[in-house]
Amino acid sequence: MQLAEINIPWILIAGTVGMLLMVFTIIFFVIIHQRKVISYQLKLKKVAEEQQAKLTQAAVQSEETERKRISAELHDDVGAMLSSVKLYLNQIQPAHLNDHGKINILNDCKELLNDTVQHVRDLSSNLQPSIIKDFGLVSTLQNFCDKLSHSPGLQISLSIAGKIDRFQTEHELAVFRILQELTNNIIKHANAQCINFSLVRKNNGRLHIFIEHNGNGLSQKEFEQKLYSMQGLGLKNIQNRLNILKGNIRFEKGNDSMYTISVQIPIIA
Amino acid sequence: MHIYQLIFVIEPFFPLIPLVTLFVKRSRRLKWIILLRRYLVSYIILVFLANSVYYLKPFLEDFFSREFLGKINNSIFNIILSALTFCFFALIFEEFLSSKFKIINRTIMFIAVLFFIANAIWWEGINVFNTYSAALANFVLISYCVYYYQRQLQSLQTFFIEKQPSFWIVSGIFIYCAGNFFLFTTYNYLTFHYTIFAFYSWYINDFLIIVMNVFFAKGIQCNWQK
Repeated sequence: MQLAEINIPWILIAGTVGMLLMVFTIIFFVIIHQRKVISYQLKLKKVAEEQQAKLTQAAVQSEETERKRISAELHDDVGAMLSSVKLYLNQIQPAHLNDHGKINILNDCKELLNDTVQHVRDLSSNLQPSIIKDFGLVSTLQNFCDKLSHSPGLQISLSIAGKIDRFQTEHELAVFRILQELTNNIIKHANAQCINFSLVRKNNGRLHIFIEHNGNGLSQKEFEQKLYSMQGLGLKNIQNRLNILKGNIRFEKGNDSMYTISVQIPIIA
Repeated sequence: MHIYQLIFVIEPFFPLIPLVTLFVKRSRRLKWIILLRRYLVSYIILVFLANSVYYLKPFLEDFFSREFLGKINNSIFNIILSALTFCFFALIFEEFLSSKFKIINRTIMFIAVLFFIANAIWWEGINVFNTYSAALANFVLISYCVYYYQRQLQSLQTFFIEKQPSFWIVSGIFIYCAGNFFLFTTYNYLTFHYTIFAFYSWYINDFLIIVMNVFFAKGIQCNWQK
């Protein structure tokens, strides 16, 4: 067949149209394929994150179970035994003893035993605050503040704005643990003399907790540095609990040399 | 005035679409934007000159001899434009691809420019459209486009690739080069055997230039939004 017999213009037009179709196909393929691959990767990342969250939750839960068990052991076994010892000791009166020195020892023993019983009770209550299940976060926090305010040289206050309804007990316990850890850190490391707790329930269903103290607190940068360093197990626990609660924390220094730690948590009833 | 005459009159000003976008959406002065702007301005000047020569030639018959006018040809502008288009687009690709690509690109550019010059001087000459040069330039640019898409699929940097300015610029170049590939490679053959078709084939080129410029404008807009 001669070249002139072939309809060259039509072949060219068809070729050009074909090329353009190929171009558009490639462009659409790139757009769709890229989006598909990225969404697949995002999905994988989400699954990995969920897995991580589940592991953290399991770790936190097992920690709570262990605390509960130790608390029960302390309360039911050690506490009961100490109470029995106290009962027996109470039956021995100073009148039964002739030696003045022995009387003193008996009185010291009774005093020491009373302190030990109280200490075990406190320990048990700290390990598993029983009132959180029955009365919720606010009452537990109130109780916690009352106990702390007995410590010499420590001023504690708690203010609550708006009605804070009860939410999931596990979440209430997690919030309490966060506050407990933060307070321990403030007393132990920041050497604060004054701590103010404020709880605010926002309209968007979030609970804002502010802890203001006059100690030598952390800045947000220092918190993040400690969080990602090898130390700071307590801070890591706080972050883990916050991850489970989908909350966040912020460390700030005010102008009046007061430090504020704000914790925000979405409330799921 | 016929529609084809009107198109040839407005043809040099198609790049005003991205240039106006560039003016309205003043974006960051990135190197690819500077290169693109230079290309667009060069295009306006060269196409304006080429079309002016083509249209003014019949009016000059009263003043110059036919022999002299026969020697005047607008192909030289098209040859320069082809070379410039290739160089500017290749340099723009350098901005969108890795630094490793730069060495390869500069080598290819050097060889291609040597080929353009040799082709214009010894093989096809400056009085006809240089199909070999245009085919080579288009082939290289199409390969660059495919390489760019492949890199995008491998790197997966962004979820919305269509929000990337580079995506629109490369897609515009891709459409232009792929759409013109067969026309450019056979243009000289067409001018001898299918003169009318060869004349009208410039409409396809014009259409592709408009599409390319619209894509460029979109790329500039995306850069502004970024």
